[in-house]
Amino acid sequence: MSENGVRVPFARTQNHIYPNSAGFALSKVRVRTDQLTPGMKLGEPITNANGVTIMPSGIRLTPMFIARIRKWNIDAIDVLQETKAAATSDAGEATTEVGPEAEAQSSQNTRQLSDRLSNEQADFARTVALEISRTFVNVKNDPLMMQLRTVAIKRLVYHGRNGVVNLMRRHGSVDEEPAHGS
Amino acid sequence: MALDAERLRATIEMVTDLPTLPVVVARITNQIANPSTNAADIGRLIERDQALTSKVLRLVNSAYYGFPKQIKSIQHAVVILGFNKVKTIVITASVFGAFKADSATGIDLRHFWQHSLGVAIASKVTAEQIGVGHVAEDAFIGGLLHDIGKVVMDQYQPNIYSPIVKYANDKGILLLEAEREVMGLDHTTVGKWVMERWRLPASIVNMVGDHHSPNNTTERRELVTAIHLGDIFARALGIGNGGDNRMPTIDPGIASAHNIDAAFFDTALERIIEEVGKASDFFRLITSG
Repeated sequence: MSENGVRVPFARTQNHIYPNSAGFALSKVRVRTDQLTPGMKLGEPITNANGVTIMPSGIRLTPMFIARIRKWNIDAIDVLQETKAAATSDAGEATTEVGPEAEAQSSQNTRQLSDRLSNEQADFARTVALEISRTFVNVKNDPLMMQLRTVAIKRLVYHGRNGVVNLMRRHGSVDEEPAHGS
Repeated sequence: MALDAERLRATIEMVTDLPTLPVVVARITNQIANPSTNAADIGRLIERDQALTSKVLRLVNSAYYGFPKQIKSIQHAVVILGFNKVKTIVITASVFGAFKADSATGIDLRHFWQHSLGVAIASKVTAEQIGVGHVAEDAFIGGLLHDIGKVVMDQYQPNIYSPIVKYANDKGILLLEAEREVMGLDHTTVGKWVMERWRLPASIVNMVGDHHSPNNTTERRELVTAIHLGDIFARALGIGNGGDNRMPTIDPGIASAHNIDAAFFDTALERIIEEVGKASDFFRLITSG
């Protein structure tokens, strides 16, 4: 899933569904900055005049971030929302709604994806999980670090063989202990 | 037996073949800080070094920066990318080639540099995510150099470092912990010494020196936070190997200050994976020198 910061005009019949790794459906809606609330996630990156990303898409808005956005004279911004309810938007622009059919469709998609995982992909997922878990072995009592482990495995499996997994140090087999920690 | 810090520093500085960065690197990084510098000055400095010029042009034209047209001259690169990105590229291009390819202590250097580059990218992404995107290039440099003390120890003090590496691996602990136990100081301090020797600006030196103790710093705390998290994220994604296959824990103060949770990880790791994908030219530089 990639965000390019381009604003997409919404029509009532279009549903823009972005599955996140928890499997919930997210929709992108336009929200006036005076109606931003903490917990919303940015749906597009905010860049400065030099093109430098100041806030990337996807970050969760804290009160501090919201105050900054308002100071920058931005009228409205795209946010991602996991919700059935429609968000308010600028007058004249249609909102998208994530109706019950769309949500059901999204969780069905997720299930179909799992069913379609071939043996090779399942093996790959297992290898990744094993490799990453070894790195985390000394922090297994730390709940936050265990959350990180879960997310890392999920992201790596999602990106498959073309992602950073190719840079992982390779051993002959997953049971082999590294000789010098490398 | 704790080694005397001063004695260790003196030993390191006495070694005459300590890695040097091309003289032009210090000139460039310090010149960039000078407000009266212009693109032509920077361009001329880089162009004096043939090897550096070709590496810079290669990186400037890489997918990482994604410009549609080929950039053919250093001057053009400086104008299009700006000083900060050029500084990043110059440092990156110089650091990999400054060290020998072979390790004296058994650390896999190729994977080590992959880890350093991974942390560079992860630190930059994290800096943007915690709201200091305007200094993301500094985070990249800090991440790249964060473990430079380890490779200096590996190559220039192997008699001291080799038993420490073995000890860390036998006990399954971080190199940092083993270093502190045996030497009474760690690679961040050694890294600081070397970077001072390289005449890198104080802002970079201090940023790297504190990446394992993010709450001990007064200046640029957010940058240090970005590198602290960048290191952890790069390890979590298995990008290369920093010499010890173990996780540090996220500083609890940082975790609460930035509301770090699974959603934070999700966003950060996703972006890091994307950026690593675009940075293959950088990774290729590791093996080609």
